[in-house]
Amino acid sequence: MTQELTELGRFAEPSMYILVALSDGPKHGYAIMTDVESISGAPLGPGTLYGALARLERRGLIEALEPDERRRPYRLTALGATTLKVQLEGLAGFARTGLARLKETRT
Amino acid sequence: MSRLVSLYPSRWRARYGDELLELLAERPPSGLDRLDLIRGAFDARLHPGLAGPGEPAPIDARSARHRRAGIVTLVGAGLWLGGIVIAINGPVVHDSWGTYREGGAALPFIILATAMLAFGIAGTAERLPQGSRLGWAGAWAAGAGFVLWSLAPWVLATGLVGALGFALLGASAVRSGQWPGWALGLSLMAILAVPLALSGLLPVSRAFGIDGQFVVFGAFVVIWLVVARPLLAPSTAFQPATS
Repeated sequence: MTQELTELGRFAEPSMYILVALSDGPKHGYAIMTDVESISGAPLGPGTLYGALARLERRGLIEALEPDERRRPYRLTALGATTLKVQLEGLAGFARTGLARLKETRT
Repeated sequence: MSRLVSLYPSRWRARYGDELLELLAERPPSGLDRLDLIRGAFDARLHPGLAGPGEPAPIDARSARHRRAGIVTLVGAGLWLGGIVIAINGPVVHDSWGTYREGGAALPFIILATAMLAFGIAGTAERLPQGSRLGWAGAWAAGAGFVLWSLAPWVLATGLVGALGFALLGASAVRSGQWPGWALGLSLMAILAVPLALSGLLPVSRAFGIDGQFVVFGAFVVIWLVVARPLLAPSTAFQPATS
């Protein structure tokens, strides 16, 4: 079972980026923020970051690990990984369809 | 920075406060980041269930928060009336617009009173049944619309958005049993009276030696009272709106 990230409203897009940032291993807040910014090319505000982290944690898509001093790393759960995979596959299908149609139009 | 984090509810700070402070120490916030934190704090207060993996806040804690919102709203009602009194006693000005009382000194009271009303509006929305999207949309529109209107009363569109949002929130509150029907009716009359009186469609005469338009603005305090009343009453069963 996966969860729809679109339910998260304005936090849906940041949440998707956060899941991608955590897909290669646990990260703490600052590392997530910088990774998301490098992936998306847009700044991620600290309020939005923690609003999204709280929602993802609440839904069981990520989990907090033991804190390292004041830094607390987060990691993807199995549900989070499955949800991310479904979302990315959906986007990949969307991209394939769009590109194919563009190609048809140009030929 | 810690002042911005202190805007978040205590349970939220207990869970995320330290790591957020650490993040802000590593990357000092820009102006936009500060706005984002304020927005995040507002969001965290609207969705108290986000603060942790535990159960939603106990009914007692929610009731206490709603009572506080009710008290803040009542204080706002006092400030609104205080602002009206100041405006009534403002200096008389004669210019190309005619002769009128200059009420600029009342503006800080009016703005603060309206911001306090927004607390009551948020508390009212929080007590709506879960999934009441229209009620929440109305609360956002009412809170933002009225506050913006108080900042720039000449932008009538913000007042209209606030009024429509308030009507929507009120209808949801009546439907859920939080407000009696008369409370919504009374507040809608108070809201409608303002544009009617300003446009001259509602003939208002002097009462007790006070200009009729000030009487209408004074009566607008009904909005604060309608919002505060159920928040101050002991809470019975209600479903909190979570994220």
